[in-house]
Amino acid sequence: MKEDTDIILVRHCLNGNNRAFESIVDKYEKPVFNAALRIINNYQDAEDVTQSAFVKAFEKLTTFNPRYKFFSWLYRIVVNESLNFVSQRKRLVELNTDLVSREKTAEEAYDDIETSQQVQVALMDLKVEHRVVIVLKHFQELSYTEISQILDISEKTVKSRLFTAREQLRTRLLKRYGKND
Amino acid sequence: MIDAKYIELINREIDGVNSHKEGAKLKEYLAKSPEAQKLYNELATVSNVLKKVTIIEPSPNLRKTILNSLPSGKYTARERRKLFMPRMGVLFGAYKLRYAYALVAGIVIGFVAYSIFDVERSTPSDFSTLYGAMLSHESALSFETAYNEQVILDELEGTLEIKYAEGVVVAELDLQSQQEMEIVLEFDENDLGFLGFGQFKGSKSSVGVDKNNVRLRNMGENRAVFMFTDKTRSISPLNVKIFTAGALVYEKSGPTGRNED
Repeated sequence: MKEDTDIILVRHCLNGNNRAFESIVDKYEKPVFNAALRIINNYQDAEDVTQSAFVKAFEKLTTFNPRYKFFSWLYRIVVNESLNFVSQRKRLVELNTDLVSREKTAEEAYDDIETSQQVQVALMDLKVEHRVVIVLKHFQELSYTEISQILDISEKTVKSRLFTAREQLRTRLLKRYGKND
Repeated sequence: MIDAKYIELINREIDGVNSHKEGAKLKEYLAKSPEAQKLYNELATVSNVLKKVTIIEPSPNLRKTILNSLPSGKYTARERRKLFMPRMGVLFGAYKLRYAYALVAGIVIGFVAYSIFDVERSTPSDFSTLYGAMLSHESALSFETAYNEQVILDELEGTLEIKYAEGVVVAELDLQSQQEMEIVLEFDENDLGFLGFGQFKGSKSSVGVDKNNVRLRNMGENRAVFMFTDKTRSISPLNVKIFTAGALVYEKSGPTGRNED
């Protein structure tokens, strides 16, 4: 089971096996980076935040409570790091679309790039607390409960922010994509 | 006007968390309310659009950067203290005494082995390996130029020179730029080993070193020298890349020696 594996890795790491933390990095590097990227909207800054989040997780590993899910604990760190970064850096920088995956045909890749750009622009129009719940729900596919644990807010607040954010995205995105897709 | 409880049911339906009963109740309501059906359709569209957003790959170096940033040593300071400095009461317990004997035995064996096998160190006849820490422009070695190029670009200008001597390769860059530039030297770690870096001009730089590349980030006037050991004397190329504002503006693969013929 996913959660048991993470807790085993944490225990190994605390027992001095640094390879265990490498496994944690391998497992969560991409989702953590993408979460930071969608919140911060800058590739290099998202990498920096990802790095600082993993370092912080490593340093605070002894504080992790195995009663909870490890990835929720890790996401809390990366979300906090991202929010701290956003609060310090007010400027918006366009996502570097050259770095979007190119594993598809040229037409598919272009469509993906265009979609991703439109979504990112719409996301950046949201308040950051709404953006975060969209990122955690739609991009990280977390449950209301998991999001409430990460953000330390009630599930009711999670749903309220999520539903509000969707409503705002609806207005922005449907101008481009129409009513039925 | 859509009832708030059905707005919630619509959103929960999008998230796939409605029970069978809740789903049926919503379906019944949507059939009666075009407004609610419209809202559901549009939110479903939003959800589908968000699913199309591509997962973006972090740079290949990020993993290494993360792991290199972790606090040195296998354990956090607390763990290190816990494992290697047991409390006094435990130290004298029979269970821990075995480890104390093993530690002492290991130290004694180490001293004995060192005294038996200590190899007389010879003074090197050349000082090229000292260049990493004691850069001197007056060299004891006779350097020859393998490559020299004038770099003239909109973003920066200056010179790049690669020189070589017995077992040593030196890349010297003398560049000026109004904007921040990143200089990356890439090499095959089997052929070249990074020794050190010296900066003669320019503001403080940030330098990063990996197994097969070294990076310098700076702005303004910059004269820097990078030193490598030439492990194989195989004239392995040294690739020089210069980035400004994140864009590659210059790239050159320079030889690190001269062909005999």
